[in-house]
Amino acid sequence: MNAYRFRHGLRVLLVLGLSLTLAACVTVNIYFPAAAAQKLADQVVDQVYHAAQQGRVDIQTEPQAKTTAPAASAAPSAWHRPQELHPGQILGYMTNVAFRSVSSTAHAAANLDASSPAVIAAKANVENQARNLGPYFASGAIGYTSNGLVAIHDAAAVPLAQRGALAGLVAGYNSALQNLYAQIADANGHPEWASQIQDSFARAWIAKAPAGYWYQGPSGQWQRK
Amino acid sequence: MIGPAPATVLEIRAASLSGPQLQLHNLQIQAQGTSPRDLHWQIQTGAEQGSSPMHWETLQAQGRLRSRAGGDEVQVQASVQASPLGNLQVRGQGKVGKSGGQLRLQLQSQQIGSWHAWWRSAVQGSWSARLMGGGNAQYLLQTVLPKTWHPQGTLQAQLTARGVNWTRLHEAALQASLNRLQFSSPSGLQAAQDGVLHLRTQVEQRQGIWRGQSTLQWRAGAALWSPWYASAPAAGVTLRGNWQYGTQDWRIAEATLRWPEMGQARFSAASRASSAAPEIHLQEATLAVQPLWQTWLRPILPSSGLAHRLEASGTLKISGSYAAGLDKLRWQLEDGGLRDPQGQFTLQDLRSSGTWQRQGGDSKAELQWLYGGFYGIPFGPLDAQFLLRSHVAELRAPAALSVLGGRVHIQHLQANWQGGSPSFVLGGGVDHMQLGSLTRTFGWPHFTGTLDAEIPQLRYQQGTLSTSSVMRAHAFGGEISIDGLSVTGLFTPAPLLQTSIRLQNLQLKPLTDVFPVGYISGVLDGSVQHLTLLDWQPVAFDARIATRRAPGIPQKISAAAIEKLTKLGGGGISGFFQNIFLRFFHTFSYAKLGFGVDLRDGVATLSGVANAKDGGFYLLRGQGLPQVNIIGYNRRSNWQELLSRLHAVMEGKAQVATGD
Repeated sequence: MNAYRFRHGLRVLLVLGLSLTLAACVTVNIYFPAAAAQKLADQVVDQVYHAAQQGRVDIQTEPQAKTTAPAASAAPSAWHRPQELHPGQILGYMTNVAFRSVSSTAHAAANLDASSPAVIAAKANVENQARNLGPYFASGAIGYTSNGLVAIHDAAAVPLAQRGALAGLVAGYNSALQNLYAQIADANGHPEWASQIQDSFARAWIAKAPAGYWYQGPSGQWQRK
Repeated sequence: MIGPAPATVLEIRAASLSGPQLQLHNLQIQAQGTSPRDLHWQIQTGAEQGSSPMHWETLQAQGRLRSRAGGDEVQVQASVQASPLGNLQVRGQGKVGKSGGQLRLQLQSQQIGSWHAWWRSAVQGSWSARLMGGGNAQYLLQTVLPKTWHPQGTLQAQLTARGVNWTRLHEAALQASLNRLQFSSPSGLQAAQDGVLHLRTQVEQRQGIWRGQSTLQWRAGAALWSPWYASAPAAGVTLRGNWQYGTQDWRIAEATLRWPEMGQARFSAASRASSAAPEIHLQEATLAVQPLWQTWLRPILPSSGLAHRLEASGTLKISGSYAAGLDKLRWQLEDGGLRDPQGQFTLQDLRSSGTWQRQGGDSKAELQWLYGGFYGIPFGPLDAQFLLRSHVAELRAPAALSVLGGRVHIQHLQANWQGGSPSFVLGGGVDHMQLGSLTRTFGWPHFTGTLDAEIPQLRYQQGTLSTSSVMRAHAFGGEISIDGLSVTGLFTPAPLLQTSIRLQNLQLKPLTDVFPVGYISGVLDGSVQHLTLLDWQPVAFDARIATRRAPGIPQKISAAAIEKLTKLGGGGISGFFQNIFLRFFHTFSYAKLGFGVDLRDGVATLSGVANAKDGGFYLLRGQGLPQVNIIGYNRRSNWQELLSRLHAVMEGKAQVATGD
């Protein structure tokens, strides 16, 4: 009986060890939280448009809500040990973990945080420049591009005296926008997300643009909101 | 009886006739007359449309050629359809005799307007001519500007010319006015509106070299060549100069440019066939800095940030040379000033003079100002001498300026502007700066004292001010080390400062003498890690401050200090304690005093020198008898609320609302 129990225990340990080895190969991928990014972009874009309309810069240092994307599936923990498990449950659990570890990578939810000081500073800079660009947007001299930046649409829409500064203002605003996207990505520990965050903002700038603003469609053609 | 001679008709027809730059078709020439002395002629032809400047659709011309005793006469009347000058009507008559000849022509078309030409020659071959008229200048402008820019304007001109033989122009004079000039590039970033230009020039040719004197005036209108925009001043802009044009080179000498309200410049320019780029020598320009800055310099600066906001004033005298890039420069600035309308930066009574050369070694410059301000902090005069090289300016000798009752000394400074991105590195220090003025300026809790600091290396590059070394300040008998300082977005709406601070051996007694928190003696150590200021307000840090026993220094705290520390913690001392207990004991010994504050997202998490029962923490651990301990229980506090408590404690207010 003791020999049987020893062999049985040894088999369980073997399976357990194998499972643990496999489980140790679990790769947790943090996928870009598209929904959270869109929510954050909508929120920031609303604030920038509002600030530009009010003609002021809002340096908000109070805590802001963090947006969370719904996870594709919860990340499994290889070290979580349920209480009162019998060997069969352990085996089943470990097999499941092992299967998941070899069959696919795990998915994890990610938050997007726009409350870091660097992001707030970047946003304030965008707001400040958006305020200066307000008349140019309203006249149709400039518009939002499909990649979340701005470009000259019709320089002749503004008087000659105001046109000289136009190219510089557009370049400065684009620099501020790209800094904002990069700071949000950096603040969330994923600098490589900057271009996807930029895409989220591109949709938001156009979707929330006031009536009369010009924007570029996906194929580059200009349209009026 | 012999009747009149029958008319003779000569007719030439050609289906096609080709020549260089010209291809005619359906050519028909007819001449008829009763005598060779009186012929009527007629020409009809079409021409192939092409890129040649000599193209038209149809040409019809007729005229009469008569020979008389006094000379030969010719009359011409022509109509040209679809020529580069449009539908052109030409009328003319000429006369050639023994004493010479003359020709009068009248040209008219919608594109060029109406022009009268007159030409007369002598037997020897000398001749004189005049052309005058006016009309649409579109054709002329399209030879200078792209057609897609849609240039428009009208031209009035008068040209007189004289030649010594048939083939050579000897001298000419031209007066031309271009009115209502306007154009716009497809992008709209190069444009002109309502421009009026007037040109007066005289030219003569000798030995194959043209020499002339010209005056060009810009009398009205506005021009945009992004990023520059300028409108003509009421008195107009005048460019005048002598010039010379040969087969191998051209040069402009003794040229002057007068721009009312901005100043004037004298210059010369030359181009040789052997060199690709012209050389321009600016002999002297005397300029008013305010319009110079506004019209020519500010547009090329970044559109956001301080430089774009600055207003400049003063008088500038410059000279220099340019050959495929700026080569040499000499300047003298008097009565200068820089002012930020938002009040973040100002320099007054600015003076500077010096020379600079792209190649050829060091040159010298000096910079002086009487006073200035930086974020509301006033500073005093500066007198600095620099060595200049190609893209580098270096301080020749240490300089100093007074700031807040103390002095900022600059031991070394090197500025670099290579690649169009200016940067600088400086080292120096601060002596005896008054902290009271500094705290008032930034709206921080008021305290007094002086600050001494060493700044081994402070670097500015691409909008970020940073230090790669530790800055040390000496205050309150100890040392304050500032490490990893960086300020990004300086002069933007939200400058961001990040650094870590370490406090060592700070004497509490002198500290509490200037911070009105009551008497405390002892020695303080601490750190403020990851300090982040946004728009100069703290938004994040991890602070730990605690006393450390030091030989010979008692650790005492007054009852008043205890009361204020208690208020700072959000509590209060009962009236019984104040009235009975503190009446007998003015100071108390303590074992350790200190606290920790971690600030994140507007919430401060507090801690003390040790944990107490029931989740509390010791801010003060007393020792001996009587013993006083201060124990805090609120570990989390709103940062603004904590700040208002601190303000209240500093101001000595009796009670602070805690919001609890």
